Amino acid sequence: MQEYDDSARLVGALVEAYEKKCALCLCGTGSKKFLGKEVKGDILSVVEHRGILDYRPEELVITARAGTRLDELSSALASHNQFLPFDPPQYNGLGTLGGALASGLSGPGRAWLGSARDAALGMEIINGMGQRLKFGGKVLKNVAGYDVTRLMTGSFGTLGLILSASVRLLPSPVHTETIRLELDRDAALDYVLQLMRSANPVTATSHYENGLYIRLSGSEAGLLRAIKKIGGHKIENGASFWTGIRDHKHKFFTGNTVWRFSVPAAAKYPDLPGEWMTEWAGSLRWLKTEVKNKIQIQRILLSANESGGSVRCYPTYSDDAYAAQSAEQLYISKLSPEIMKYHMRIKKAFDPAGILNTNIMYREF
Amino acid sequence: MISTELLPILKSVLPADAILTREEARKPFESDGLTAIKQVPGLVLLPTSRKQLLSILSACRATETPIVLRGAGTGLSGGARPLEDGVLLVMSRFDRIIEIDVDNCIARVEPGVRNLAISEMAAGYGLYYAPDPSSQIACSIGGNVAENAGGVHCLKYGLTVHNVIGLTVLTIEGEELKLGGMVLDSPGYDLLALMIGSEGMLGVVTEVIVRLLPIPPVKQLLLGAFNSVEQAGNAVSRVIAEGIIPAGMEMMDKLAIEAAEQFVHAGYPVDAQAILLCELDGNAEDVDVDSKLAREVMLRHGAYQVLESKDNEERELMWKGRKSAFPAVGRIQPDYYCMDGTIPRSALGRVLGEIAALSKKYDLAVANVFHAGDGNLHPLILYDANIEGQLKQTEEMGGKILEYCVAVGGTITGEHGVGIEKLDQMCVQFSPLEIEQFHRIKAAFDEKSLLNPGKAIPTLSRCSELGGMHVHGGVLPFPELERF
Ligand SMILES: Cc1cc2nc3c(=O)[nH]c(=O)nc-3n(C[C@H](O)[C@H](O)[C@H](O)COP(=O)(O)OP(=O)(O)OC[C@H]3O[C@@H](n4cnc5c(N)ncnc54)[C@H](O)[C@@H]3O)c2cc1C
Repeated sequence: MQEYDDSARLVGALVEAYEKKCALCLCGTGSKKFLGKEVKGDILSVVEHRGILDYRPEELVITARAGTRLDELSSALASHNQFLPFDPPQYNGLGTLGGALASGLSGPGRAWLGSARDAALGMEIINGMGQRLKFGGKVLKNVAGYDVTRLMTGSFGTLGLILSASVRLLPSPVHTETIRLELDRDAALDYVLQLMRSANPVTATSHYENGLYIRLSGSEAGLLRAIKKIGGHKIENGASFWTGIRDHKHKFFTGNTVWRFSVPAAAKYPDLPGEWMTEWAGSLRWLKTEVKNKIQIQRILLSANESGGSVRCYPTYSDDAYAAQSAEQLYISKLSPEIMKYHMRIKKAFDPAGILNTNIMYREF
Repeated sequence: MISTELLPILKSVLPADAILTREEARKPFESDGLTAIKQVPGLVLLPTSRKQLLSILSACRATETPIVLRGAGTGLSGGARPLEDGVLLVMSRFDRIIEIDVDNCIARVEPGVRNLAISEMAAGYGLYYAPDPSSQIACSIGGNVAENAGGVHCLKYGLTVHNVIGLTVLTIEGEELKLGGMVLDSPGYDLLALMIGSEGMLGVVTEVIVRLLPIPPVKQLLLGAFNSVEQAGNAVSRVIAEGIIPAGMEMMDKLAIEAAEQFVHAGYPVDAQAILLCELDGNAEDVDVDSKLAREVMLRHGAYQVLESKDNEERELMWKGRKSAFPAVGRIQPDYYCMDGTIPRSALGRVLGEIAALSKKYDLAVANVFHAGDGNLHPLILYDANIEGQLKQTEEMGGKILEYCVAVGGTITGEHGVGIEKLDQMCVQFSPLEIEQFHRIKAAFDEKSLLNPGKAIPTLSRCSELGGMHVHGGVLPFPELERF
């Protein structure tokens, strides 16, 4: 694995940018660039700042520099039979630890194994004033000071540059199987909700067309019994099926733009044209639809709101598509005015000059 | 002194029984679970509605009266320690379970609901709320949110932050923020996570949405007996290194074992220097595999005996010894001081050794009973408040323990919070720039610092008076230790 400490340069760049009030666009490998609105400013790349700083498998924690590639990290963990429980999407196969945390995205196991912010235990950051700061730590239980680590997670670099992070790990399951059941959308939803109410070794679900896919992890005997109870048939290449979903390589994610709904698990499907894929036992739903006009977009935003959740537009990640995507097209549920007010205040508390990744999440900060 | 203008405003918006003005009525609220630090509050308010809360906030804003929030008052860091010139806002009358939504596996509750009450209510549906602080019969969910409370089962099921998915919060400015919801993520910053563990400094929690989990069909408790605390400490790491995630992994040393055994007769081996309670849960097959392996690992790493719970009744009795360890220790010595540092698991043996050395040096007995799987220590320092100077000695020794925790790569508080108690140690764990960043977060929510002023984050002048104790600022309290 490549190792390099680029922190002095990164701190220097932020100090200078702060002094000169010069906007910066922080980035990793760009694997999630398509998720943010356009950022104006000098590009500051974190990818050179890479390498594992501390990994003792029995602690179930790893500390690594932000530019460490996710694939390198995963293989280091795999050699000790461990993995990142939030299973971050890599999209184009790239992706860094810092980018995974800054975007706060989690893979198919999120409802069972926790999210990116659940796993984030500590961070070293540079705030918008070029100050190098450490929060959290390398232990699961820690309430000293406000939880800046989890606030940073999912903040898309608007509050600071992540230099390194400590994240929680899990031992890899001894056995994993994926089964497929033939069920339509509504029956599948009922069924997964029922599964959530009783103890089952489920670690992912996905429904698409008339197939409900269920990932089971645990002891061999436990899986045998669960499969007997649940039924369906085993599918080959379960692992690549789930990474396909995670990284949007699955055929569902081709063609029209998809919309990502985060809703209560049991929410009724809104009456919208298009195809659905449902993950996280109902809590995460993707709608693929051809959007022709603003009215349709308003309907999508409204229906997410009505079901007590949120939605965002999720373009396909290929560079061409990104280039074609103007900032205005990245629709996302609005924040309430009160919540927006506190976002802006927090932004100011970390980045008073407003120079870090401005506009990437919302135009207001 | 409370502002003279405040009371008339409050009397016009609150019923008489919601305002305690008489000294005898206010006195019971003088401390939380950290009884060594007391202050009778200037005024105690016990509102029952959102409207009343809003009126209180606006009255306190208008008169610039500081507010200290209180749940059930079981906190152990003085987070709910009142102010003489402030209002103590007691949330205990907000005690309704608003709904249990079985389809979504969530409960929506008011902040004054007791932690255990949620699981009791959900049990009818085969569900429960996982975080289980030992104080769960008494502590409130609002207090749990404020302290990011843990419990004996958070190794596998996480802390409050992993199990609370929505909050409604009133800011000091009187706005209502809905953070999260019945969903697994929301757009924007994770203000939900920021609010959890913020010790009543950023807002008033008025509603909590928690995730419920299915009750595991099988639970098996193993009790490993060891001849030394270091061995037991090392066995903890070994079990986890085998790829097992126990539901709970607790440790008790000799003093704690004896006290608990005398108190509840849980069947603990009183000749042991330390015991490990290791619980496995899940489906029968997985529990079977894991408990065989855990037993073998404990035996391989120094356990001279491993007992197994035969049935649920026996399992509960074995847990009862652990859960009542604090009061049991309180029977031997009425005054004890409970510490709460967290360290990397692999440092357990070393840190327990250091605690023993400090105990000798200060001539104060220590009982250790703690969440070993999370590396979350709870040394109970026994002292006698009637002996002059002993509390001060105790606090000093406690401070040393926490500084040692930081030096081995840990933290000064795992689940009890900083409150007023660990302000000095905050200066050790964080640099002045980090502390300033915390103050800016506080100011983003509460510019005039009316909510719980003076708690959780020390002033920089306090830190500089203590003198360069900060560990990553160059001067290291324990220079002999390797750094990681
Ligand atoms: C015997 C014993 C065992 C314990 N075991 C554990 C344990 O295993 N794990 C653990 O984590 N803790 C434990 N504790 C500590 C304590 O029970 C927890 O910190 C608990 O979460 C406090 O809840 P409370 O309702 O008593 O809060 P309080 O003590 O009343 O208040 C705690 C903090 O919360 C704030 N607060 C209260 N309500 C609100 C609200 N509605 N909105 C905003 N802020 C609010 C207060 O201002 C204060 O800062 C134990 C305590 C005792 C006495």
